[in-house]
Amino acid sequence: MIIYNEVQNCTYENYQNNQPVLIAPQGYAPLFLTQNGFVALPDGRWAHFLSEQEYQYMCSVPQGQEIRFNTGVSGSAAPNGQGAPVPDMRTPEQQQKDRKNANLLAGISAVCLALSLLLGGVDGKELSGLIAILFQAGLVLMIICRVKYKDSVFGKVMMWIYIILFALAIIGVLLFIAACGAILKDCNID
Amino acid sequence: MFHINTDSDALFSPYSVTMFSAFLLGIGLLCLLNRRDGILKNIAGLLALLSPVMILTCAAGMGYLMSHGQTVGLASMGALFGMYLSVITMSLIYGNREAARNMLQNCTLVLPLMYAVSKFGCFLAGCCRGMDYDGVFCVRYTGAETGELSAFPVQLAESLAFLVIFSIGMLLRRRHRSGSIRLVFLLSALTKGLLDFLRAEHQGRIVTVNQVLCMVLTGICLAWMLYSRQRKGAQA
Repeated sequence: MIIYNEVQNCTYENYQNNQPVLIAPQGYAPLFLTQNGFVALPDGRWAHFLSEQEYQYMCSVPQGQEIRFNTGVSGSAAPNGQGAPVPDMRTPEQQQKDRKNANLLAGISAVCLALSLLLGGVDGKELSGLIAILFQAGLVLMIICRVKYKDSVFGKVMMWIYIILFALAIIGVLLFIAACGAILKDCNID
Repeated sequence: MFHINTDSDALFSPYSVTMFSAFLLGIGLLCLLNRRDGILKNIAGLLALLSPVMILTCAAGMGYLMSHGQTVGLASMGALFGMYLSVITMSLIYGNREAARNMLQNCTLVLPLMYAVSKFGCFLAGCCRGMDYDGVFCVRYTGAETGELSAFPVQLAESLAFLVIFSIGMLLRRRHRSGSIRLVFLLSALTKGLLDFLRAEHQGRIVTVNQVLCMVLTGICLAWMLYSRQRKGAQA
């Protein structure tokens, strides 16, 4: 089986002038395929034209084993440790630059989040607008980091922090509403 | 006649439950539609994280502005703006034109559902109430929140109307009809603008701020429809 990014059950073919391509099976949405590196062929099928490195990697996988490509910025080992690791196609300088940019984005996001939480504890209605702006700025920066630099650990950590904060906020709001309701109920009984 | 006592004994106020449900349904459905259209899981998930924050911020901000800084409430137009702002922000970050178009279309389809559910909450809470009215289908409010009064159930009318608009939108999407998004947008703006005449805050005014915004949105939609038609004609 050949898996290219999130497209499963691809088939290998030599297309027209012996160009190595992976053909996607039917049933995937066109947008999904373009996002995963496939292009539409004149005959209506969707194909990914393998690069030299991708072709070499495919040839190196023993017959009968699953071939899994996980491209994009990550280039990290395939999920669940299955199959051989896919080589990262970026140069070391590019990798370092990407890591730096990702850390910068995630770092500023963390600062914005921390400031918004700190200001949240301060009295004053006037600060509400600033808190909202800081929180959203932090969230947007985290999203930029996750989209552009998927393999950044700092970015992933920030994403989980935001998700946990959301979950806590929802639980907190529900508890607050329940507590208010319980107090009012007691007042009515008395 | 409906009778609603706004002094609720329930643990969770009906308003908060319906608001929470509106968010859950709307964002959940948006995620589902985006995934069906082939948008990557992480993009759909990150949008689901961003949109509630922007919706709440813009809704609260607009409510604050419309009350001239007197109260903090949620304004539906602000929520609309917040939803579109979150989708546009996500589209700019992602940089894929087709994905952006799909996300914008899906959020236009989902907004009438969110509005319908939230308006039902307003109906139960007595806020955004209709004009004074004690005829057929009137709603009698009692309780400390509203005092004792009879009003036209405009929130219920809006809720039902927007449920119909949502159903039309989903049906047209299922049948892959072109122009369905523009139709949903136009119907929503017109319906909201027209039903605003039946609201209590409209009494004594020629037009409200909401109606002005609805007129602007209707104008934008009509211009967009005209532009699309002309472009189609030029291509043919």
